[in-house]
Amino acid sequence: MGIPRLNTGRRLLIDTEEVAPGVTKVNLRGRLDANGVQTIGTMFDRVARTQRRLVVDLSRVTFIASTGLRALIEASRTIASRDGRMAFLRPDPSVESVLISSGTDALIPIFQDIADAVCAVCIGEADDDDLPADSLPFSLQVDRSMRGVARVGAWVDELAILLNLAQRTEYALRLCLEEAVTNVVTHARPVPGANADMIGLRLVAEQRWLHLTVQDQCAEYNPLTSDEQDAGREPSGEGGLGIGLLRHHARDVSWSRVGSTNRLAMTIPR
Amino acid sequence: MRMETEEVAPGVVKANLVGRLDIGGSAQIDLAFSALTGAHRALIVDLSQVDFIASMGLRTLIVGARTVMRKGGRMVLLAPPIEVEAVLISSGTDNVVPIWRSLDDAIRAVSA
Repeated sequence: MGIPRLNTGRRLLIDTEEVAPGVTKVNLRGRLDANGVQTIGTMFDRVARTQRRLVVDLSRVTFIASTGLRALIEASRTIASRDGRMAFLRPDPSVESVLISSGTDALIPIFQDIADAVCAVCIGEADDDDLPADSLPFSLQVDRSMRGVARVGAWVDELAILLNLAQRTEYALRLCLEEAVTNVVTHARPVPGANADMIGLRLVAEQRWLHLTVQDQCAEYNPLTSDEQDAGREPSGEGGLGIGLLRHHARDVSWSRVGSTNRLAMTIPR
Repeated sequence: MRMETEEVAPGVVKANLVGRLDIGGSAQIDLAFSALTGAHRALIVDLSQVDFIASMGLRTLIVGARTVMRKGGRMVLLAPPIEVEAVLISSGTDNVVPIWRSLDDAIRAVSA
């Protein structure tokens, strides 16, 4: 017949499923380029506007172009504007390297395991309901390694621009994050079987305050009790120096153990 | 993070640090900086172009100062921006490595 057949191999397909209460998994299949974005646009927009916990399964996306990145970032912003969260699941290595080199993974974390992804989009669920309407949440997952610490610096660069932070506030935020994350990397001991490879950072920006939490799944470790012996005026070059600086730049610094999670919370004036 | 050195008076070396002395920055200059502190007895570390320092950067400076002092030499810090100076003071680092505002004073302090 004269009717051209659609080359389904080049189209982008989308479907959704509820993988946990309130958590939607979006399955994309095909090429996430300009054509692909056009194909899934309406449906993807609707999902982003109606859902708050979104896991985007990229395991069957074979290619991603800048138009595709833009569509994903826009969706995550739409979701974030309603205090929701979005995560990527199992991107193909070629797609993952684009997500990382473009810095998209700083806005939308990548997971290999569906349970971790669901957990990440649900983190802070209880807190979120208490958030004032004018507050903005941001989150980042980094490797529990010195490379992860370096990643934090780039995140602060982005936040400083997005939130238009004063120089003094940006300094305090950078210092508190660097010290808190360094502490986890150097002192926390992983628990066998737990997902201890990542550190979760969360920032809630209000008009006058930045509320910061740093979480990890390592063995119980309270960094705030380990700085007492280092309280002298002359730094020894080791130990609690970092926590001392953190306390100097933040207020309400507190540590808690929630289930299998170490949670360091602090507030920085804007 | 970059580091350049210049001789500002006979036997007095000034190291100009440029950038952010965070974890990444400290790692970038650590080797060159320890080599420098091992090689000189009168060292001025110009911080005027350093816009961030936290505990990792402080350690780099403190360890360097101790290396210089062990040889009977002197190391001082020059003209840190206000936020950096606040961290140097609140951490007590200024008790180990004195801070000077002017180059002339710094040269006098390490030459004495």
